[in-house]
Amino acid sequence: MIKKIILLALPLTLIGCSNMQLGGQSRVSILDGNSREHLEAELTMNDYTAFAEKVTNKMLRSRLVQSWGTKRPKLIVGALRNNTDNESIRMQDIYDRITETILGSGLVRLMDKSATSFDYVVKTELSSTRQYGGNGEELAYFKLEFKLFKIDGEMVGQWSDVLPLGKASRKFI
Amino acid sequence: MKSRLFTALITTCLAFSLSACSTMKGANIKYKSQRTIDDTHPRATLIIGTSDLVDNILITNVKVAKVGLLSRAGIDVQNLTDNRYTLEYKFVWRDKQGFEVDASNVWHRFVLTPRKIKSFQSVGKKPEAYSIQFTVRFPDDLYIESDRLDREAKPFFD
Repeated sequence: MIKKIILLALPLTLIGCSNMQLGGQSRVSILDGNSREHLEAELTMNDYTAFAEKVTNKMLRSRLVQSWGTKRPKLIVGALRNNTDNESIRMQDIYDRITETILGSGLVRLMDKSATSFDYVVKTELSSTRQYGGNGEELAYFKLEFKLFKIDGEMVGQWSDVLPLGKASRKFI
Repeated sequence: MKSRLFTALITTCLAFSLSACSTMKGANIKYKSQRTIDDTHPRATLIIGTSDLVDNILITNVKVAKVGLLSRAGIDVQNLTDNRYTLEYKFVWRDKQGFEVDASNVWHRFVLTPRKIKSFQSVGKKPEAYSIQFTVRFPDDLYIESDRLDREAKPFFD
């Protein structure tokens, strides 16, 4: 009888000592929507937003854009070119964040890429460089660049922003 | 009977006096004044996200000006110590009535080396943007935090 009680009590005691909570939420939490957590040295949705915010900040405070005043010229945002080493980056999401920010400013009339009548075109490119260390360290630099051209091909503005991401060495224990 | 009435009276008085001490009366004020909030600029509210940073960093040199049809804000953050800080900042733009405009901003991380003054700028990306709320805080990063807790729990393996 005593043996049976011990056999029953032992597993329960062990479960009590463990950190695992039965019926817990699988260690998943909802994060702050504006925070910048990373698990890998890759871009997240909030990085897209930060890029769009910073580069359009630079564009909107340029002398050229200031000179537009209430004229609201017609602008095309060209397709975003992915010049990084990662083909799975969601370029459409970055493009959408950029157009949302520019459109919200009310400074331009945003035209579709197929439009034949426009005043300016913005060419955008995302590029990256990467370095690896011996113990799994990783250093990645992402750069978003805007180039603004007139209809005759003259480049009238260029703005960029860089996001560096660093990954620490791997722990084996 | 008399003593029961007296007890009830004391209990009621105590409840009222405790509710008077309560700080839950913020509906008609902009915010409660604290050491971490600086509102001396008419178009800027500056917030240091933790009291540990008060007197160690200073948010200074606030400028808000027109840039075409939009407003532009510039702010300096000064490290008053010989420590190296990894922090993050965020601009929030508000209109003249105090409503938040352009709420899509995210936190931007930066490093403040000893005694350094770093400048940040933002453009209110809507014409009605008028004033700013600028916050600096230690990074709120779930993975940095869980890594720190792991190291505290298992210092032997470090």
